[in-house]
Amino acid sequence: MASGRPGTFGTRRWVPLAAVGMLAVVLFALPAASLASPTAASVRTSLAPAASNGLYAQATWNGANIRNYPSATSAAHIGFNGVANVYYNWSSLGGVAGVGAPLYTINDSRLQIFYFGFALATRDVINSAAAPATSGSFSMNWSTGALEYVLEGSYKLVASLIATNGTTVWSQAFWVYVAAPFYVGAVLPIVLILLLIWELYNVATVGKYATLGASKAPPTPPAGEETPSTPPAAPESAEPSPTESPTPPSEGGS
Amino acid sequence: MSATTSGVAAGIVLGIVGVLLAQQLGFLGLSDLVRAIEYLVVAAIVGGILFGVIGWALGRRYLARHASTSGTPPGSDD
Repeated sequence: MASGRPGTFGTRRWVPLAAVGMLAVVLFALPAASLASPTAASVRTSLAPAASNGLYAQATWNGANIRNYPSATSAAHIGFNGVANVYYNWSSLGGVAGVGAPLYTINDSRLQIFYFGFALATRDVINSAAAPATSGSFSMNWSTGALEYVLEGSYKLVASLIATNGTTVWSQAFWVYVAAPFYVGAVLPIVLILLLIWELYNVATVGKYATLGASKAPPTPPAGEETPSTPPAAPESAEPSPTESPTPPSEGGS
Repeated sequence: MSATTSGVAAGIVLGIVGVLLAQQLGFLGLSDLVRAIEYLVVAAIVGGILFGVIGWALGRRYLARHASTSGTPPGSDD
């Protein structure tokens, strides 16, 4: 034991070492750019239309272009039990005065909501009688469905147009804030808040665990007293054991 | 499990819960997998360090307080 007092700094010398080690991991293992970049810029999604290839398309969220919602901090809003109208409009570019423009056969408009990189829900509006054309539009009434009872918060949505051969000819990401009643009236935030309270209670009462480590340490005498070098004497009432009897001196005769 | 270890464990959970709750309240976006994992790992490490130190300090305070009240051997008059 490095220190005389049980449960003091000496018995837990590994604590500052572990803290410094973890801090070094944070500072050196993570890329410096990820620590330096602000949050809003890091979650900003690409505004460039994907796979445009001569196709111009845009989508509106309740009449506003979804390009107006490029990040979690500037997200569109949908209330509890709310429904948003997503309107897709596309047209083919090229040709002369609209003549000779490439034809597209787009039969599917899709809207996906993402969480941890995975699509929580996918909604499609399919035109089963799609024909090659130079322009078209889709209208979709979108709501979070049953997810509104589970989740809230900011989510990335991806609107896309899909051709009949399955290729995505256009896609655009934007952000939507899904509201819940009383701000926390969904299952997940309620569970998280309960977990937060429980863990804070555990931290507040964490001091009692120190006695577990202290009980293993031998008791030390108070300052100023010397530690007895001999084991404590046996009680007086106890009979002397044969091993403790002194060895009789030798008589010297042989 | 010592007070420090308990604080570290609670801090890791609190860091992860804090990130998830911040997303649920609209302060954070966790739709990108890599970015979400970065947030969770950093929050868990920071929470573990912070609450480990808090647990260590609380453990010391608990020991000091109980050593002064019940740690004195009976019969001593200091």
